[in-house]
Amino acid sequence: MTDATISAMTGTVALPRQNGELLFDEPWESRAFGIAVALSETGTYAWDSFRTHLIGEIEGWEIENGSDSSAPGPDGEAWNYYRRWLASLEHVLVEGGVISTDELASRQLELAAHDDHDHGHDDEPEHDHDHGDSHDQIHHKTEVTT
Amino acid sequence: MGEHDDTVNYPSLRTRAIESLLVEKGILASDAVDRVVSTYEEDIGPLNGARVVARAWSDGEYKTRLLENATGAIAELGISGMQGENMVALENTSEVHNVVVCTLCSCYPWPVLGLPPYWYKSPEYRARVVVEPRAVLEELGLELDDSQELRVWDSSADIRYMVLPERPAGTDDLSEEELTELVTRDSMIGVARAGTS
Repeated sequence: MTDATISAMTGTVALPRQNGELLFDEPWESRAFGIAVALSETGTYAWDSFRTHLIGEIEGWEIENGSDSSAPGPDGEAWNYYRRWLASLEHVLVEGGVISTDELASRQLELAAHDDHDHGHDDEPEHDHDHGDSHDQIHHKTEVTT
Repeated sequence: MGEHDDTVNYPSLRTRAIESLLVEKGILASDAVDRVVSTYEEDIGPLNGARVVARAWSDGEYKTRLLENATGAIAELGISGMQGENMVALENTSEVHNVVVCTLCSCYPWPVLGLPPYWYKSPEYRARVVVEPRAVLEELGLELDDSQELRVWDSSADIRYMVLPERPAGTDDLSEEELTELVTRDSMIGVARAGTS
């Protein structure tokens, strides 16, 4: 929190001044938010477990990148709070045995293939409300072109 | 999607994959996420906190209760949704100015302020408001008197802070409802004064 990179940033990073900006920049951010909150409400995990993961994720990013959110990190990824949120959600679910890394990876491939095959160049996030039951149709399309 | 940079699509796909698996396993109801998101987008926001502040400005006894037991005083107004954490209200005066942060992540009093703004979660604010709070507040447009003591409060899993801003001068004739309109979200985090946006 008090290391040299942070104090060296004095005045270089302007803080946003808007009051009343959008809560979420992209649709997936609101989905990731809602999933994490809903699961804590139904007792899949305690909120504090999720929070502990979130603290670790944020700290990890800051160790890699310092506290300048405008600078892309080593992997070219600039600061995004909900990326850290998503990673925390994934970890708390895998750690708790709720989902496995393997099934998550293969479902992700299925969805990507589904998008490519069925929707061509349309990459609007139109699945936000119905993808939960759309996977039945896509089991035969797990090949992904690179 | 395949022709785009993977880093653009990754979080969206990953989120959909997680939700899809959870629904399939029966762990997450298919409408649960919509319900949570719409609650935070439409129902829970800084207006709740503004009602608390306006009541405290209008009713001295309520203000006393708020400063002694904020969780209870906030519940009096029918505001709920606390996940077990305790609320603490911090009174700004001409001598003391309070400002709130969560240095470790993004703890924030959701029931009274809604979800935190982008900058509250940013590495810059979380790190710098502790080290050089006066400079950060100045960048946010708030200049304090040198004589004013500045206190920075770090939220935790158990305690969520809200600031009770100073009532602006010349507002004696305003009703509680009119006062509510003067209370901004930023004034309840402590990075602005009430009556200014």
